[in-house]
Amino acid sequence: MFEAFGRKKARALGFAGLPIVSIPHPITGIPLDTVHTHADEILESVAESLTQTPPEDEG
Amino acid sequence: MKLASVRHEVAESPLELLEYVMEQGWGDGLPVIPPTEERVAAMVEASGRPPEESRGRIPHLFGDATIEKIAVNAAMAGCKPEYMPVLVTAVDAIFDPVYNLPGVQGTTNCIAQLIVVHGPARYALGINCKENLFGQGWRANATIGRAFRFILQNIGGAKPGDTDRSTFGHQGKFSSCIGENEEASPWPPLHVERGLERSDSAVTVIAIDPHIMVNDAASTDGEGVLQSIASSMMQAGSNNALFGGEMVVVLGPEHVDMLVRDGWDPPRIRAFLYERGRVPTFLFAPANLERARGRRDDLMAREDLASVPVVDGEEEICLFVAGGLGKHSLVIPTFGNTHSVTRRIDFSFTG
Repeated sequence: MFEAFGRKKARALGFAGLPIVSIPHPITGIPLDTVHTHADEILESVAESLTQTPPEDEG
Repeated sequence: MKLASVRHEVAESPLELLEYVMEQGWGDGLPVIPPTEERVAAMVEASGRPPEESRGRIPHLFGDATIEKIAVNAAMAGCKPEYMPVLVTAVDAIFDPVYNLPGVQGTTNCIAQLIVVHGPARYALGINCKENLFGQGWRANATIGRAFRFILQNIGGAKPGDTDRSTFGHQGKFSSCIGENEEASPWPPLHVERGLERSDSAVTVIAIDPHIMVNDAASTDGEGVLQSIASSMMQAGSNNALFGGEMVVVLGPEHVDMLVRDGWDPPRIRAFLYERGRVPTFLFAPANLERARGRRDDLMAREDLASVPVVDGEEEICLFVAGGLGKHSLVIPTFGNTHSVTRRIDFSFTG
């Protein structure tokens, strides 16, 4: 839902290579255990994104 | 005058121009006026400012709102050059952090940016503040509002279906610009309430949800009219009920006449609407009530929770007079996480 938007915004701010981890839409109006499942699914990717060296920004 | 914008060669046919503009993602679906160098230069000149002067970077994509870029969008929307000071002031106003422009630009909510013009500029520019002011038929209203949307879309990068994620959109996203009908009441107009002089011209920008019309042709006193308005403010699903923020009440002149006759004034009207405009808690879906409780914790702590006021205080009711004859008023909820901003229009640069 907001992934393409996020990429464009990152590029506009000079961080074209910003790692983005996304979960399926919607995040609102869903049971709490589904939220936890989504969080578990992306945990590793978030950790990688926070620790890896991002590719050089294209500007 | 030296203009920096890229020149595009486009066929003279209006339909081909429209196709080109839509392909580029610059349009709103309706025909546009070619923003030729001559037209843009006239707009810049009427602003009284240099074309390269930046008024700020507009989220989401932080395009630079230079006078020239504002002028290009104004020309494309069909503005007269003399409308430029209104547009520049409106652009300045949305940078106030209380307006929450980043939230407003990309939300799934149905938000339009309403420009309300106050003071002598309404007459100088031909801005309608009476019958059908939100509707069609007045060039200044139509094109200033349209240009403002182009600015948010083309400079700010809020492209519908892409970076503008509104679920339904809003009719007012084509255009939303009105004048305050200051002459229809003895009360100070909104810009004077907010500290400006009556002789000043000013712009108020408001991030609005769709309008709710209040039809009360039956009440014979002011309190009855206000009760109808208060009950129209009471929506458990509105952004205001969930998040607080500001709510707009536009009083129609015939309702104003009754209120004035019965001794009401804006402070008493706001106090009445704040007290009566409360949503009984049983009307909320339980989860949505909890959501409101989480976002309006200060308020909920001091309420018995039998009912939820749709604003956090009477000062959060943005009240002004507009429109023509008829026993109608308007309630306009807002984005909630936003406040309107009023700015004086500085015509001193325009000579």
